[in-house]
Amino acid sequence: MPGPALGRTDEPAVVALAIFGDDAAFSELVRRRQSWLRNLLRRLCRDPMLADDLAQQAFLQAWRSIRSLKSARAFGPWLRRLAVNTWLAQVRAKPAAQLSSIAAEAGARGPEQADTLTTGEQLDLDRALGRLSPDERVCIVLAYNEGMSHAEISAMTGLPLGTVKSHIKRGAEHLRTLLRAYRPIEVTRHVR
Amino acid sequence: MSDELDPELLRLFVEADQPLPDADFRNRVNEALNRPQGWRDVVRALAEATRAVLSGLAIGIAAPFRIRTSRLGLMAASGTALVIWATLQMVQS
Repeated sequence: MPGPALGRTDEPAVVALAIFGDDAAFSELVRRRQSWLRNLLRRLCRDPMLADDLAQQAFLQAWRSIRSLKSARAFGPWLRRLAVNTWLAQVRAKPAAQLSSIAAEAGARGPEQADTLTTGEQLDLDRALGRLSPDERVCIVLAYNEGMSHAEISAMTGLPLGTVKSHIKRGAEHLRTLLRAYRPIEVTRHVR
Repeated sequence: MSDELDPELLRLFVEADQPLPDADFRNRVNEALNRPQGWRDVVRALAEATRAVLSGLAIGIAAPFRIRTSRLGLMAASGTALVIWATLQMVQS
């Protein structure tokens, strides 16, 4: 359990301590960053349990390789890269048959069939994101959840810049259609 | 095309970003960090040791070829002095 002094220390100093092998400092980094990282992975995975497993893997990998971190200030983006790479490795490790069935599901329940979904499903952003292809999803999540530029997303994912742009454009259109029924509910909530 | 984002979708992402309780998750991570890795640790240590030895050898072999020309004279003089000193030591003993 990190001490109260660590809790008040700014992040670069805590990262510097963790680089020197201070496990209490690393535990403090886990405390500070866990919610952000788990939320990011929940947007990428449809399954919160899987998202937490991947977040755990990313933190373990971070602890093992934190000495390779060039600058303590780069901890956040570095950890995000580890998490996204962990997720990508998990997606790519899936058998081709499983991936094609996911794509088939996404295609079968495309924008034109959004109206057949229940209201509960349409309220859930993560489930709507789950209907995008993995490449579209990672581009959308990094742009909307993380505020990364198209160029940064291209550098992180290895996808060409033009592909990233079209994934974000098409993915956003797809999401808007899937979440269409969300708007009247939002309006009702605001009126109250 | 610019990097502009749809404000409505952006709002949905902000709303979905709820703070998650940390205690259980931190315990899991801490347990995993403290769990002995067994043979993986041994393999990792051997790999690190091999890498260190090979990189030391590579640096040792490459070092003479990286000396600047301007310092060759100094190196030659130091080498000669060392040989003379070693010879004198041998003669004295």
